Amino acid sequence: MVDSKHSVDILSLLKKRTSFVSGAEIATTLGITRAAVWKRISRLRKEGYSIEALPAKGYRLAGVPEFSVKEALSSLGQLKTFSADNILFYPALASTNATAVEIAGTGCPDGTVVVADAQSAGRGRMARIWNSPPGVNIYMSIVLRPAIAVRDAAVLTLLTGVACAKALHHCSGTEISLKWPNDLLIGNRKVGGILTELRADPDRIQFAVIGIGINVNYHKEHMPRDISEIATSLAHESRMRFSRTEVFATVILQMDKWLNIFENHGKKPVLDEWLTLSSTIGKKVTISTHRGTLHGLAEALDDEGFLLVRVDDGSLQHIHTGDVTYV
Amino acid sequence: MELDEIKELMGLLKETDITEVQIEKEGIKLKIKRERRFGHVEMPHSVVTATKAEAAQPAVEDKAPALHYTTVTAPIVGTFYLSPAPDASPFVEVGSRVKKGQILCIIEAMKLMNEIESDVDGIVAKILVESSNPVQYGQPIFLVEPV
Repeated sequence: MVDSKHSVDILSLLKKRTSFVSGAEIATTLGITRAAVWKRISRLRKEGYSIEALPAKGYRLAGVPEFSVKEALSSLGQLKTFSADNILFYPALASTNATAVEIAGTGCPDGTVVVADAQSAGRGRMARIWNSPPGVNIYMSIVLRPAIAVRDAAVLTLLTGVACAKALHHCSGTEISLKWPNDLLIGNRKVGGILTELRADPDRIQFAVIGIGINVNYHKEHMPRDISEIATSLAHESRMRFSRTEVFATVILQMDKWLNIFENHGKKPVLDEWLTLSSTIGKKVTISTHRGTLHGLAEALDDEGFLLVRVDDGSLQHIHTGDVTYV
Repeated sequence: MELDEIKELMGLLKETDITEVQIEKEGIKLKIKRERRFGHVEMPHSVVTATKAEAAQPAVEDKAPALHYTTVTAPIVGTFYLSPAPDASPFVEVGSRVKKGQILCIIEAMKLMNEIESDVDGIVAKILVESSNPVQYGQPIFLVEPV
């Protein structure tokens, strides 16, 4: 990771100047050879940075990429869980969750994030497809190794919903609501989804991989028809394009904040915030599971975050899982 | 009393839990005694179960065969799935040979998918929960016979 750190240092050096910086000066400042400077400049260009080079003058930063996790992290300062060194960006992956599970299995640190510009096999719950075209959206998976009881792990999914809803609202000004457990909605349409995979020993979490997909600049006309009826994007709702870099940075910032709250104060503040952001409680709902469909009134969350539904025969059911639709 | 009669008596005795019979008839005194055939391995297990079972579970007989199996329990509350998707084939079936670390099932809670791995090399002896049913924390879900 030394290499990428030097790339960040070159960037901050170039950003401080509006004019050219000589290769010699960069080399001396960072304590590396001019050949190494050239190598890292090439890498930055590959990542989408536009860097001018003139003989005898040196280098000048002329533009930053439309989506850069490096830019995102450099704007955030010191975080508790996340750092620029542990954010891995890929132009394309089969699935960020699959890659994150793989590297988590080989022992990557807590707070590692896998980000892709496109996915060829993005997936949702029950092996459903998550549409993942390039250039418009955010597909990311966060590896966490929380020191919490295995039975409390499911709260992470509500926490991620809270952090993402806050982040998307902050970036777009649009009202974002949560549908239990953690669908991100604008109005009645889905703007983002979260799928978490957990590996655990009986007494200890090995890792959780939290996959997040956010439709940022996804054009409605480019969505498959069955998706466009139920999905939307930030851009579609706000009639403007958003910086994926900024949206990503805000999601990371909110995740860092809420993980910290959870670690220090437990489940309650997470559940309380979820309740203020949710559109589910008080609604008539239909819940479909493999076993069938259930109708009732979504009354509350229990202490674990499970949905309490008053069904038609008057009994209160604890719902662990299932697709919730508002009636 | 003929030899055949004695043989028959011994045969009948085998099918019951009776370990000792005494018959006095026409001057003959016959005593048949049968040792309970517990293997060396199973015997101490049975003792352990009996004490455990007294505390919580009345079904001693049901538990006894499970003793040389490894019991896989649910680490979280959620919904139990035997396959990754409704139309996909199951991860394992009764009789499947599994390796340590192999996925046996998924338990889902609030879109958190917990893939449960076998902690031994073995054979799936019993699946204790039907797919798509809820499971409670600590509930036994599989019996795996280590090999």
